[in-house]
Amino acid sequence: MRVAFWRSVAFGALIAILLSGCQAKSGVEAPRKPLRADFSGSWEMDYSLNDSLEGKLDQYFYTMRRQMQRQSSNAGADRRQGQGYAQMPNANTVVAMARFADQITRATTTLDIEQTYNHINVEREDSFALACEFGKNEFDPYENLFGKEVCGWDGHQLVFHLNLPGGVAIQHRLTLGPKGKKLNVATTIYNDQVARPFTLNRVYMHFERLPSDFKCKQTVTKGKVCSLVSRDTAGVQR
Amino acid sequence: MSFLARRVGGIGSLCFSLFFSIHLLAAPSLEPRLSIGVVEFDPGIPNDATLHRAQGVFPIIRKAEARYLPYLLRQQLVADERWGVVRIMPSNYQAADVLVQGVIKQSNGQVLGLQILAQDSTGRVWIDKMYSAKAVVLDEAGERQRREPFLAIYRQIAADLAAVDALLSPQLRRNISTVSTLRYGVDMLPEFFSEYLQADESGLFAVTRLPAEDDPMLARIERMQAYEYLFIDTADEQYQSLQADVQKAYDLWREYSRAQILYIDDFKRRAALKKSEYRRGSFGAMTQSYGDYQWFRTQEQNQMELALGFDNEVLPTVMKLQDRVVTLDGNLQTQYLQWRDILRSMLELERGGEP
Repeated sequence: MRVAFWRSVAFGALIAILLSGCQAKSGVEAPRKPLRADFSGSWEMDYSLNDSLEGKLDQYFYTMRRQMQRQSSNAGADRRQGQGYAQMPNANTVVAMARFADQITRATTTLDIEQTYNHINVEREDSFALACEFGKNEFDPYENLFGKEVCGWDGHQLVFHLNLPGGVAIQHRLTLGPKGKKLNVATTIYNDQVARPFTLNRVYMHFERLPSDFKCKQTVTKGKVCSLVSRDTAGVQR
Repeated sequence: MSFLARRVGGIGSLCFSLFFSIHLLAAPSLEPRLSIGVVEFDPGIPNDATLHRAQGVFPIIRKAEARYLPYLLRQQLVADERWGVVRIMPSNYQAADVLVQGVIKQSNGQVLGLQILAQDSTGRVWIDKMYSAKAVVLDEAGERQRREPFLAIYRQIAADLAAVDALLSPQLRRNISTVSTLRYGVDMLPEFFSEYLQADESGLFAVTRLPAEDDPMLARIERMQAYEYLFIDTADEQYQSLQADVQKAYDLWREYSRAQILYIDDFKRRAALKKSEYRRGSFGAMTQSYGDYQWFRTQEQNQMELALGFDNEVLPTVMKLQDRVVTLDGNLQTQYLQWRDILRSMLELERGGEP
């Protein structure tokens, strides 16, 4: 758990350097060699395995408090037990990060992923799709007026990192379960007002979409045009 | 050989009437008018596919535009009633008195940028200029107009061509037409026609001497040129039907694309003026930044989907066009080359040589 956290922080730092166009600093852990897991298929949220927001916040503040206590004890200051969130520095910002992580991931109850060796497209319900080209440059940033995106493999994990104006960054790290039946999406929020990022995990389980009776195509003049698919008795599409 | 004979016989009568009408138009009592060939535009698609997204280039739309936009220019030139025949040419052979070539530099519904090169058959450059215009969608009364939003660009190109044409004397125009015929002759029968033309160091062609008026080779080459026009005019009809099919989908796509660009421009203006009312790092600030980004990416994806929709509507038509133009194999450019080969073979036959 701790290793995963620090890997996330290190990756985030590396991405931040990539996005800012600076030279990589020594001491920052580079992404692992790509192992290109296969995420393709349809996925729906498994609520029973999702992180509890309150639990994650408690864990976050507990860790922070322990860290502060260690620092205090090192500095010889008084030890005070049972401090509430309000006494923590930037506690409101941390709560805001947690709410924000919950808000941007809660509505995505299904994912439809198309993947080739060089490309992946993650269609998210109720949000824009995450797409990544795996070209020669493993991390090729894409920038527009509203933010900077970079994506790529970190070992068997696929990472999408988005830098937004105002010192905020969002990272989605996709990890496939051991049998390929579960998919974990760890969403980490970075905020330049807080030293430690906040991560919320959402877990998805694989499901097979029933073949549609309609074949649809997008047109400009008539919008989406669908036609009924004829099938033979064996159910094979003709 | 019999194949060629049948082909010649089949189109002979049609060409005779065409040839006859050309001669009537060229009667000395009439002011000579130059013919214009507008070559299919270069779509200007960057070779590096990774640049397409950043530059907002949708290749299939650009390819359709390369065929469609020359038509809008042609319509303007025909409306001017200043020129002889105005044709859309599949390739840049100097079969017309004035050849207009273009590269689409920018086309996003809001701005159209065309690099235009126009040369007459003597090689003189009439225009070599970048034209750029913003879409005009409202008329003077503020009402939404139905006409082409980039009409200004085609009018300007037509006006620039007319300005050069206005400087030409009737004698110069006749000279350009003569050089067109001779250059066509050089292209088809270089061993016979080369002696009539000479190019100087700057590449300008001048007539060194003229073939006799009753020269049978000249008559043949003029007839071949008429055959060539027959092919181009057949292709022209196909382009016109393409225009009608594509126009509705294209106009909608362009309008959508334009609305998106205007929205982004408006957002930039607002963002420059307005400071966020939220504290840095707060929930409101994060939601606002993410909301903007989400809006942009959703719009971007909608535009891609619309481009795909445009492909779905236009692609079959374009393919149909290329299949339908002639029963020759390949696309229009290839068919044009094949047609020219047939014409060359016909010339050889008429001269009694081996085809």
